[in-house]
Amino acid sequence: MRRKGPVDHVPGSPAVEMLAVTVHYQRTVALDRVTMHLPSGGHIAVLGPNGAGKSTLLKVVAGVVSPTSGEVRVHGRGPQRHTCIAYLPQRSAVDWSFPITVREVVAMGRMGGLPPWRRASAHDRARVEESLAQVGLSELANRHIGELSGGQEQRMFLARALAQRAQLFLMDEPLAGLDVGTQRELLRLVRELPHATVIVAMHELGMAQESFPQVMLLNTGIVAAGPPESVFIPEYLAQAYGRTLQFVRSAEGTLAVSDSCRPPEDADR
Amino acid sequence: MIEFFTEPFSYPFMVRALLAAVLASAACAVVGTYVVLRGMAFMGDALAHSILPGVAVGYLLGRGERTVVLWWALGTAVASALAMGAVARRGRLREDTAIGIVLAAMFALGIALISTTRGYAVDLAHFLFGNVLAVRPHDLWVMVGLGGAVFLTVALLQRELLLISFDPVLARTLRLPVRALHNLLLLMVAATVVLSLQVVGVALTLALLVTPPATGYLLARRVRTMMALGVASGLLSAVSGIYISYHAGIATGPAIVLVATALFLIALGCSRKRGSVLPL
Repeated sequence: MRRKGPVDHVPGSPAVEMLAVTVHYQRTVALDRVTMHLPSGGHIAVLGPNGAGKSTLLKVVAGVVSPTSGEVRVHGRGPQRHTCIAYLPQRSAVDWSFPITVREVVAMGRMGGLPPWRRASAHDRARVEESLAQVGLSELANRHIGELSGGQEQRMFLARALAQRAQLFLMDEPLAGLDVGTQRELLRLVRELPHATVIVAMHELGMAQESFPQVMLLNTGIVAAGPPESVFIPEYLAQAYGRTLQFVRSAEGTLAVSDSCRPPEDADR
Repeated sequence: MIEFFTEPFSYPFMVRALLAAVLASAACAVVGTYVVLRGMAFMGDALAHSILPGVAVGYLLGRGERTVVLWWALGTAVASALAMGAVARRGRLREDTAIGIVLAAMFALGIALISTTRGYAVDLAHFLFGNVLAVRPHDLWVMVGLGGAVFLTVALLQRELLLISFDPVLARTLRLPVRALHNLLLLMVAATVVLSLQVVGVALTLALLVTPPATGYLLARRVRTMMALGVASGLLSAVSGIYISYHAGIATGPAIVLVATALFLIALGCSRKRGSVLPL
């Protein structure tokens, strides 16, 4: 039951470095030679069709999935012993009927590196209340998690990451199922996180364009990465999304039209 | 009227039966809380059935000495728990398929072993359905030890167990020893299976493990409340099951299980919405 302590950060190193990272699940390739650098404090949106490896990328960075080949470094070291990484799950991956309150979920963020016999201290509890207040959930802290709206659910996980004192936020499709107003509100909250490095997996091209300085198009391998205006061009979009995407030139620019409804819940892991 | 309650316990074996039933149902409700939350019911049932060969070997070697049976049962349960975990991880089969294969093989082996003895049908029935009236003082001490270990472990690790049940990915990013905690939970299930061997038997252990916590799940908004309600309904089932068994002449194990089921059905009837019954 011994745990190794968390590791120090190497000063001046980028928050995330991936070097030719490949992940195989049995015989399928989930992630193919992905190389990226994200400086400390950088925000990037990762977009791509279902099964493109977005969740896998986040989990590799979190140190929860091990790469088949290649190397991942977080603040200069392997991710496996960092406790400053928060992975915010997809809503569909959470059991919303689990008997637990909002405050209890947020308090889980304080459990890193504690030996089992050490109970929550006054400092831990204060940190939990502070995090709840920061995302505006203080009023709902005693609610059962099943009573929250979609936007509140995401803010709860954000509060948990804040309670954890996370520096690297990995958000797995936080916008799915939210209306546009709530999506904007959530992304504003994310932009205002102090000193945070953020990777968000998402499907919403427009939202990524208006809220992120950097975006990445993923389809097991990286199709393109950089500022949205240089990445969201017909050639790359067609490479990432294949033939479900069609382009129409209109007076106001190029229109991208997807000819299928959004595929069902994300099939990648 | 008072005699209705006191009369059964003028017999020492009835007192031991009561203590054994109380201990087993409380330990099962505590561990069963995690079994229900993690969707491990099939695993629990499989573990209960897979101790049969251990029971048989202990029975044959110990010449009817019950304590030997308990230790062999515990050993087999632990081995089966680890084997199921290993098969599920290693094989390309779904986990429930792997569990099913181990369950069936172990159960068959157990029956095959027991069938070599003379009093085959009677002995088998005892192991399958329990015989709480036959608990001896020494068995009770073994049970107290096992139950105590389970309660202590859960008291110490309840936050960790809650975390791996709700969000295993968070547990891993906080660098908790998730695999070790999962195996520990399996060991605790194994211990409770052995505890309930004499009370409800192999075939009905699942009921003690799943039904009272499920009752708690229906009524509670928090895991702690769920566990408390599970223990309460488990204890109520154990005590009233013993009385019903004594006065109505029904086998004790099934009586306990039927009371637990009745409590579950009442909870099911009351609970429209989570927390509507108890805002806890």
